[in-house]
Amino acid sequence: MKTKSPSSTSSSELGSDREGLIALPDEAAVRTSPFVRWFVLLLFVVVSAGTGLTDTFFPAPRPRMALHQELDYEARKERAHVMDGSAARLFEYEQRLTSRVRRELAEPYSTFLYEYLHEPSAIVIRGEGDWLFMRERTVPPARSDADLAGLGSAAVAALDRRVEGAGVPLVVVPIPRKSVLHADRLPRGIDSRVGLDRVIIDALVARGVKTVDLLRAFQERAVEGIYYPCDSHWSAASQLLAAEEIMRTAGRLAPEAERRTVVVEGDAVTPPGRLDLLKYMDVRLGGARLAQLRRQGLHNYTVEMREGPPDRIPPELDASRRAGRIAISGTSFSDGKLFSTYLAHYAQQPILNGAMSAANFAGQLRELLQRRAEFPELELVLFEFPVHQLFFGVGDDGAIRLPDSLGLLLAELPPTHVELLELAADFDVERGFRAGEFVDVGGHEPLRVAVLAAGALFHTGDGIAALRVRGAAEGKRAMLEVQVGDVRMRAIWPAGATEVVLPLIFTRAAAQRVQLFAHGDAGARVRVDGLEVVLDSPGGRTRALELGAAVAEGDGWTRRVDFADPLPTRRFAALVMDHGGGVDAATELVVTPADDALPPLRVAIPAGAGDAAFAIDLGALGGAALRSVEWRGSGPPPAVDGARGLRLVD
Amino acid sequence: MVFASGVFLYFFLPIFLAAYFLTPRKWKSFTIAVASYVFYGWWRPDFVLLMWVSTVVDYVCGQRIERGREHGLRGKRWVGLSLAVNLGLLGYFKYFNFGVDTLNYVLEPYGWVPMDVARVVLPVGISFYTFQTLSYTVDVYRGSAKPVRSFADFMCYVAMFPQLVAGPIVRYNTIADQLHERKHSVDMFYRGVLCFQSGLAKKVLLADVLGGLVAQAFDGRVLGVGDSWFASVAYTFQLYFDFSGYSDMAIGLGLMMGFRLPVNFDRPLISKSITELWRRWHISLSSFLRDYLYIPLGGNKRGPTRTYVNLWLTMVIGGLWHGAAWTYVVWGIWHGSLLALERLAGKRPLYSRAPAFVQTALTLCLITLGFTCFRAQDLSHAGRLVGSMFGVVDGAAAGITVRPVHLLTMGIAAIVVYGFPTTQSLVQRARLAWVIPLQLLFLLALIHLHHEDQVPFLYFQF
Repeated sequence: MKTKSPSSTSSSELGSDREGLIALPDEAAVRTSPFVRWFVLLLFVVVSAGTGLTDTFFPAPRPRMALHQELDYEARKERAHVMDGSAARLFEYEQRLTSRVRRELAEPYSTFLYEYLHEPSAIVIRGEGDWLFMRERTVPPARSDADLAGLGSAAVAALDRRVEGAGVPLVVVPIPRKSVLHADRLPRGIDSRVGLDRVIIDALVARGVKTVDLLRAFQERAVEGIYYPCDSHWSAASQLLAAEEIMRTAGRLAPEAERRTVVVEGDAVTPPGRLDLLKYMDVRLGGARLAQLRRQGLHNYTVEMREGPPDRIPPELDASRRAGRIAISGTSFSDGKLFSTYLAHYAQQPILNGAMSAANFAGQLRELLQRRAEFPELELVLFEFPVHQLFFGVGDDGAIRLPDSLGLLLAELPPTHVELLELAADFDVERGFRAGEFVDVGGHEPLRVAVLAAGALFHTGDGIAALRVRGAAEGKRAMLEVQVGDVRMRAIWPAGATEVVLPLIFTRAAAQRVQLFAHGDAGARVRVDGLEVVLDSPGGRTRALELGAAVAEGDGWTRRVDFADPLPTRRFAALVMDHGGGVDAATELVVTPADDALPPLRVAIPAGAGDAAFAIDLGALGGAALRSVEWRGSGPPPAVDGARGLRLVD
Repeated sequence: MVFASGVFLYFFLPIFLAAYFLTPRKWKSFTIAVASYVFYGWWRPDFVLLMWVSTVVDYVCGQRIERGREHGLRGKRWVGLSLAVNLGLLGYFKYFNFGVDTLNYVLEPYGWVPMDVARVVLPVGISFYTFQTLSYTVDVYRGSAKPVRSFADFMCYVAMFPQLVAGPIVRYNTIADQLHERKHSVDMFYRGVLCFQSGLAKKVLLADVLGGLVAQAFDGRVLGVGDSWFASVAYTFQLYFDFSGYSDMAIGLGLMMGFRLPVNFDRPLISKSITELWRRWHISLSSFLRDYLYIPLGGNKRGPTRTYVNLWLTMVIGGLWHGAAWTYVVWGIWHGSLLALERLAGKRPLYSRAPAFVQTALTLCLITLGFTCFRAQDLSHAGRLVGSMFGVVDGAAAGITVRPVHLLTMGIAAIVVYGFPTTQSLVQRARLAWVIPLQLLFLLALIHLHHEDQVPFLYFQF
């Protein structure tokens, strides 16, 4: 079959002239209706200029923001700068926020898309039967489960160590995602990585963090609709189950026979299901459709007196009371009065409610600890956070950013006991900071203060090792950023502080490069007098262990110390080994507990880190007594068989 | 700044148009240049400096070549300087990271300590404007263009915001007269508006909607045969509507300012061969590569073998021009090889005996295979995707979420691709049956933009 040559496409078909430029018809030869022409032009000008003028001179009020949105917005305003375009992006963001035209058009258009094309907004996933899921919570970042769990659990473990050091034990309550518990409602093609929440919870437990396993509780004990279909929150039945499980794990569950209150099931019609995700998408339904979505058949549960007037609970269990020996610090999963009442019912003691809707990770915990003096009887903090808050984001520079709230809290909460670590190399301090004088760090780009080369310190990445920055800050607000490998954490230099101790947090045990940066508001100045790496050990007890000489074993070598009597340890125990030379290949450290039921703790030390100083957290052993510590490797024994002083610090 | 954003549509454009038409004729090019710097520097003002370097160097080189010619010199060193500066800038900003990564990857197994150097940020549109300024100096050197007299005109040529960041690539000699003298009329402005509206509707209502589907399919998941073909064709459509939409908007904005810019797309997806495709797709780039690379390499004048090598080399370099990654190189190799094969078969596809619609379908399949590699995250991802298109699936297929709006958009996209002529010819005719629905689509696109976050144009990255 003969095909038409492409070159035969005529210029008029293409709409171009011989030079390839767009061709225009001869005006005299074209009969365009003047009315149509002026209508098009008028419409174009009115829509374009009219929208700009309306939004400029009649802006809509700024919408109410959730707390974390407000904080993000404030941070953006502070950081906005012309040269990197952040000021331009802020302008565009603010223009969208206050656009009158957008406000008027968004709701009917979103409703039309949702109802007639089944199209949710980009931030929400629409599943089977009107089940809605927040996209950012459903689809985790493209990093492996092990990496996400490793870094998330390391951050929580670092927090746990510092808070426990301040005398407030934590019980951590990670909230499993809706997309995991209701994975059957997700549409085809959405991979929420249902196993990830289990990996994260197990990682927390493995690091010795006292963790409430709500995922297992929900999976083992079927309750009616754990989450609301069109909302991101729990049903009352789930809250009840969660409250019981939390108190059981915390060891505060009051025996049923001793409880003065009972839980009473309400009817399944009265309480309408929550529909916040529809509002979130600007979808406004009415009439029968709204009524249909509201009828979710979920029961309500109230706590009432076992004896006496049923509608009154004892004043000392009243959740609105701002006191108690147990506090809940968290997000909208636990901020409601209902949840505190359930907790109080299962514990039979008042609950100090320190949670807040839409709070960021650890933000409420920080506030609670800042007001610690107001709650002298506080014994325990239930630290609740949704699992997705551990999906830390990646910045423009490719570094993973730990939440600012975490960095702020850790910088404000000094460790109770630290021990200096001798490293295999010194910090390389940038010239400007060497003189021990104030350096102007205000401005936009963070200034690098110092670098510790990779291979100088091998640590478990959970804050067992910390960077102590001695010096001062003056003028406007100054900030420090510590980066371990590709993980970065930011903190404000506390006013008047002469040192800041920032935990080194990383995804896994490693000997990564450590960098310190300083920046701040215009006018901020920082002076650095010294930089050290310290061991953050709340217990503060140090015992030297005698590591034997290297002995050939199989095709490798081993150095070990055995304890005739099991060596008792405390929570937050750590092993420290001095730096030394001659170990080139990968090695392994094996810590064996005396209790045969517990598996040994194995820490793989990669090639290139053998000569580093070691700081290894033994949290996984949960304070168990030890039988032996062994360091072994393949190939010939280390060329330099130094003492490599080994210490147990707990 | 992007065209499909509130700040451009509701602030920059009306203010610019008002300023432009209030400016005396003599200063209009200068007004365009200043507005273009604001447009380009909106997100990164420092990158404007880079453009100025390119502008000043090529302006001076053009003048020097002309002055030397008066004294009997050819001006080789000035064209050399222009080549060195422009290709140097392009090489550094676009290929430095790629070079370091490749070196580290290749040498690391041999004990090489990977280079840990700061990443170079790619200035938007650098591939386009360096080619433009380069074409100016080369054309002046070849004598096919006279050097520009006014520096303001040259600033306007290099920085002209409508086509600055994603083409069409405008060669100096095709626009030199318009820079100096151009006419403005209500009719021209009207047709510019139509062209712009059409481009915006293509970009927002077709390309961006398909983009959601494509993003999930290319996120690294395992796909079945049907899903991988569906998603890859969707990407081909997305890329076409995104890029041709941008070109339409650029041409429309040009018309509003009295410029007639080159047409860049001629219904490429109806092509019956790859040779035909390259006469219809990104015409300004393919003609640039032909005139400034293929022909200087010898074109088809040095025997068949050299012709195939030249074709192949031109397409590989064309692939690298699109992006600094091996996936683009493979895409270039794919197209270079297909073009060479078709030339071997007598400038016709291997399936030229098949019915016309089969030829078009098979060509679309070949284009889609190439674009699958183009869009993939890396070569191994490309391999997995192409494998899945032929049933070689590694692991359980995850599937993709195809919502009703995706099916609707794919259907409409297919109708536009195969049932409608080019935007430019529709603009020429400007029939009521097209103009009125276009106004509704324009309004719908604006409402949709209010609803969605803005999505940058795909070709910005090239």
